[in-house]
Amino acid sequence: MLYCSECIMPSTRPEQVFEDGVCDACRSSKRKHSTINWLERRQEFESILKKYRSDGSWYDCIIPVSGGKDSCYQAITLKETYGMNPLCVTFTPCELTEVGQKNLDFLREQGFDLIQVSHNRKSYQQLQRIGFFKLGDCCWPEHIGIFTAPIRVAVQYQIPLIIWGENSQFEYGGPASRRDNPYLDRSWLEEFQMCGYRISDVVHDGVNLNDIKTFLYPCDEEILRVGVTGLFLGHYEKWDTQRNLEVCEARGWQRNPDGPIEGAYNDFENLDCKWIGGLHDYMKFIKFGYGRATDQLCIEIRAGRMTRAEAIDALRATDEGKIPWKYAPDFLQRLNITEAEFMTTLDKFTNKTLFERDNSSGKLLKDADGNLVRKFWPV
Amino acid sequence: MAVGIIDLGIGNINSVEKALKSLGADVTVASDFSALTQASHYILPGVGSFAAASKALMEKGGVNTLEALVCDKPVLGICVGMQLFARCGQEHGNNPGLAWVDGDVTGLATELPLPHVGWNDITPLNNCPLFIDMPLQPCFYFTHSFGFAQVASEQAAALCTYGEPFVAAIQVGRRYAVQFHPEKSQQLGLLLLNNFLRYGSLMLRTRVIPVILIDGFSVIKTCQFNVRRNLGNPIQVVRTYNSRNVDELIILDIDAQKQNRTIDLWTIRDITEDCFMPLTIGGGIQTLEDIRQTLLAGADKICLNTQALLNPQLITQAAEQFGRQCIVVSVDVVWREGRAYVHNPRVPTGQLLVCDWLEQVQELGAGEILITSVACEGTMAGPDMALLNLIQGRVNIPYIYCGGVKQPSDCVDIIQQGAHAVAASSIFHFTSITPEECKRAMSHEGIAVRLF
Repeated sequence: MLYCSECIMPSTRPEQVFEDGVCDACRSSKRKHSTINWLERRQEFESILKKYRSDGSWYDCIIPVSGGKDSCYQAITLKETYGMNPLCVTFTPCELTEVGQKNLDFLREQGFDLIQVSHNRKSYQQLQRIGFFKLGDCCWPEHIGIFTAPIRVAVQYQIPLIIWGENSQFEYGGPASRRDNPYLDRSWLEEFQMCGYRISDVVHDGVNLNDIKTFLYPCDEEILRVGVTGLFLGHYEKWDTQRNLEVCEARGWQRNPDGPIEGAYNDFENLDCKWIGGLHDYMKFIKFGYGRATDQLCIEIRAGRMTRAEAIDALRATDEGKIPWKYAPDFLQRLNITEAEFMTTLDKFTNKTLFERDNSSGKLLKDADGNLVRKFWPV
Repeated sequence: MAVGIIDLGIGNINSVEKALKSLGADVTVASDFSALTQASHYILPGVGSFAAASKALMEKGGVNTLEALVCDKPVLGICVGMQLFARCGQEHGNNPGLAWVDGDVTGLATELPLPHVGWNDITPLNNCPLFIDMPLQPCFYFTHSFGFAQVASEQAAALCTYGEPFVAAIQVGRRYAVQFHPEKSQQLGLLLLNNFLRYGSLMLRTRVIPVILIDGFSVIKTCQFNVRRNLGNPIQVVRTYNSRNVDELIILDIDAQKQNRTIDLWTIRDITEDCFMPLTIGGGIQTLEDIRQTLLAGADKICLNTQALLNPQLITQAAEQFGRQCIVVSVDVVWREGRAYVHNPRVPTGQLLVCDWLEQVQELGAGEILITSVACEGTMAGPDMALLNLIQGRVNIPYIYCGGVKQPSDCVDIIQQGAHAVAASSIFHFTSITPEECKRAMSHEGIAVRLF
């Protein structure tokens, strides 16, 4: 299997493009630190914001937030650096953690109004089942909600401008046509966030669209009427997760109290949902052969904070690829499934070419704790 | 439903027009064929004699002109309109018919008085859709002296007895005909006309087939077989298509041949475990044993490309051993200076013209062809109509066109240009358009498809 020669990302990562052994995220990162004229981009951003900026009597932009370091930074910087009047919108994740709730409260302490869009749990469970059993993604509806709720609020409150965080196709890899695209719209959501499934597909799984209104993207007419425009802040200013962390932490934002999330390298990402960190990333691992620690270490390498060799050592020291048992029992309970069903489904989604298996039966080999044995490591 | 009534100017066709209108059909009556091209269904009515009808038809250009009009759309011949389906008719001398059935029209052989006038019971045969929801022996109104004593047994759709048995209805593909007058036969007559409108186009459904390319590990999408996008996990993608109720899937491992291996059969086994649709698998298949293993893993058809070029005899051997229905040959096409050549980066195909290779592939025993335009592949810029035009009429086995579909209406164009099925990939991976939407567009244009 091919690993990027500069970072440690494997070629199995969806949407990663490799050229001469180097992934496009590393190539974008070089442009980010050299050729891109950030001053020009920032001026461009200013001229856009000028068109939307209000006198403060009503909100002039929406910041979709999870309460994480990046979205808190977005809100703070839009208000304090750019003089905007943001309304924060959060989509309640599958299951909010304690630290996640604390960080949302932190945001309100900083002087932000927050709209919390919470799905009905009954239908959400149905969508979660589709995600888990069909798409191998335990948090599938969460991705849709995150990128739909702010648009819905923008339409309802008539606030046309939405400021998203980084452009993930630029920062972490994606097709060329999307790397320098500043916009986030419906086609972006469908192309990158929905695992190829569409909201219209869930009807065939017995879900009534009337029961999942918070997931229905506003129609084109509504969007045009309000003039909803979604921009990536990361397109206009140089994205730096470390800076975001420092800005927030200095004001009282909290890391994960008990260290890195299962399967991760650091303790300041994906804190808000019980399953987005552990289980979601584990399912990514079985499908693609890499997990959250790899993602995080790649960011460290690209930011110049770590060498590739150091990252490989650090990866080996993490628990990436181990079944995240901490919140798994809660998940079984939520979906009302047995541990056996859970394990069978995980096995089904496991990419058999990435893990050791018995040559005659084809069965996946597992260690004493039931964990898969990976065939490939970055070297 | 747009119905065209072909007026041969030999009798009153008011009743049939009114009957169809009462069923809600949009009816056009014309003697000029060019006014009828938009119809989805045709009626060939008949009041009058075979001789007059035959003469009127020949004056309009005969069978070729009529066939050009109706193509493969459903036609219903009524009374003399049915008799015109014959090779020839003997009423007022020998006159030629359309020769759509293997039979001639002769005077009814009976001791009973002629014409045969009145209500008579018929016995439907061969599950003809005209008689759906009808009693076992429905009763219709007849008035005629001539008819088919017999036709080829698979063409007879109903029999009637008037002294001696004769053929009361026929069906050849989407061409139907009845000797009686449904427009005069009260409720059952209207039901028959309604069945014709609803089920007349029943036939093999045209398929829309998503193609899934994999690189040994992941689902990928290429553009002109060059730039790749990695789209993730094969199981996940297959499950999505499975719940979209698609017609068929083609899964090709495009790195297998290069890496001298076959597609990972454990993955295929996983896929077939909960994928209940026809599956065509390709990539790296080199021997009969590879084919056997792939079929055993759950493939319904296997796809050969490189190996077919390297060892064309494999097509014949495979067809002999496994049946030609499961041997698909994939042909990739590039254009150079206005000519279409076979393209394969691993085989020096040089000047091998697509048409020559297609002919050879058919002779060798392939059951189906997957033809891909390399210039269009992955571009979502519209299909290669020049290629479709080039091969139209040159392939006698089913062929699937792949490359460039950007909107549902492209599928319509592809099928109307002669392809038997459409394969596509980018449009389903990257846009909100689903195979179902493509089929709805096709259905709207009168192409028979299987809808959810």
